[in-house]
Amino acid sequence: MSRHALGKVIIALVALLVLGVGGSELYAHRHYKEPVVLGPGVTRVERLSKYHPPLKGTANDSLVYVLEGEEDGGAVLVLGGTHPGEVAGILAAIVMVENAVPIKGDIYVIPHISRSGSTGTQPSGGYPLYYHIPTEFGARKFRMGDRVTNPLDQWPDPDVYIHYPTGQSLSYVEIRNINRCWPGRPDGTLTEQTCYAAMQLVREHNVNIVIDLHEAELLYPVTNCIVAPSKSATIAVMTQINLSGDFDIHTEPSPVGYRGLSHREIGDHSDAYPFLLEAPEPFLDQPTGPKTEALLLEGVDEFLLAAGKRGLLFVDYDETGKSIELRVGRHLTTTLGILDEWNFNFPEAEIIFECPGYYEMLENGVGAYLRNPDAVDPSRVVYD
Amino acid sequence: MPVITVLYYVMTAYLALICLRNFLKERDLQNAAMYAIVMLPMILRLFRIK
Repeated sequence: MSRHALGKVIIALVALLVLGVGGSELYAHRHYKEPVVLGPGVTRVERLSKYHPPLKGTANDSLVYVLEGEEDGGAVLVLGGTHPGEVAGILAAIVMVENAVPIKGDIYVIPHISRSGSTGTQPSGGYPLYYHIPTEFGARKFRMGDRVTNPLDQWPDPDVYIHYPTGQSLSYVEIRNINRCWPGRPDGTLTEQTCYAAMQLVREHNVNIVIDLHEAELLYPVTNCIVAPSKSATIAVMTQINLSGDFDIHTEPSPVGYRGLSHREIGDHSDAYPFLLEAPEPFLDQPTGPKTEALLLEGVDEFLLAAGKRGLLFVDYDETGKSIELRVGRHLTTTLGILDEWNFNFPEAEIIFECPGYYEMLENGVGAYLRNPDAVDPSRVVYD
Repeated sequence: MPVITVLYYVMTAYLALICLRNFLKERDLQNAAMYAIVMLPMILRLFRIK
């Protein structure tokens, strides 16, 4: 064999090795099933396709966990994983599923509204494929995700995304962003159909409140906040005032001219009061060190510290970072705070449930509120 | 699967075949390595891995 042919064989073998090793890890990640333990408050589990049958069997046929209170009241829908890389939203939703006890009214929880987005990571982002939450029974393993629908499930993107029904032009990639496709449409792309299905859930169950859990960069002004349209503003501002002694939080108005977002469209196309919560996630910032699991869960980064000392960040930031406990905890407590204000304003549609919150997360860790799937009746474990 | 998605998979397969053909014909090993690298994401997409 000539040197040239030998060289090509070596190149081909190396390429096949990279494909084999890397490809198998990516395949395993896409098909990894996260266990979720049904807590004492869960009365039934549905699929999103119940509200839009064409979603059945697709990557976004997400699980909907229903927690029904003993007393009739209002209803709240909690969305996690609109952007699957914003993990505090997913974990807060799962903590609710595994621990919340509804007393009055109903809670609908979708931890992975963008289930497709959770099956891949950001191209060229160098993300870890999984993250692990330590518990007393070992680590619970979760998929790390991307911001948008996996292109394996929706491809190609148009040059320009025209939002339905407003006709607003948005960047091409936003056609795969759940939070730019509200209110959705029944015959649209997979992402649009997902939003449509969630809207049908809101309408069918007369959901009063929709809470969309997110995280944002520290270099971005819309973080540490509740984003609310005018109809939700009073509740949002009162919640901010009530919680301002616990953690830094402010209210951002939902811009009327920016279409497709949950905090705008859900309120415009239903009677529900939408709120979008943002917690600070250093992992998302561009100028950080390597995107490691430690950065994701502890939120400590020397480059952000340097940026903070120069006044470039929109949140207070020091060597303690922004832990997952802090981020999950503020989502839970802010959700409970919104419900408190809702109940004060609308006592005829009260929603009351018990759930651990900010101080419990800080004191005991997120893992203390994740149940052991191996230690419960298998019928109380769902694989997502 | 929408028609346009099918067409994109066909285009990807065609491009991957062209890269493979060029890889086999190429005399310069550095260029051959480049063709192999360029093929990687196309193969991952064709096999619906990434």
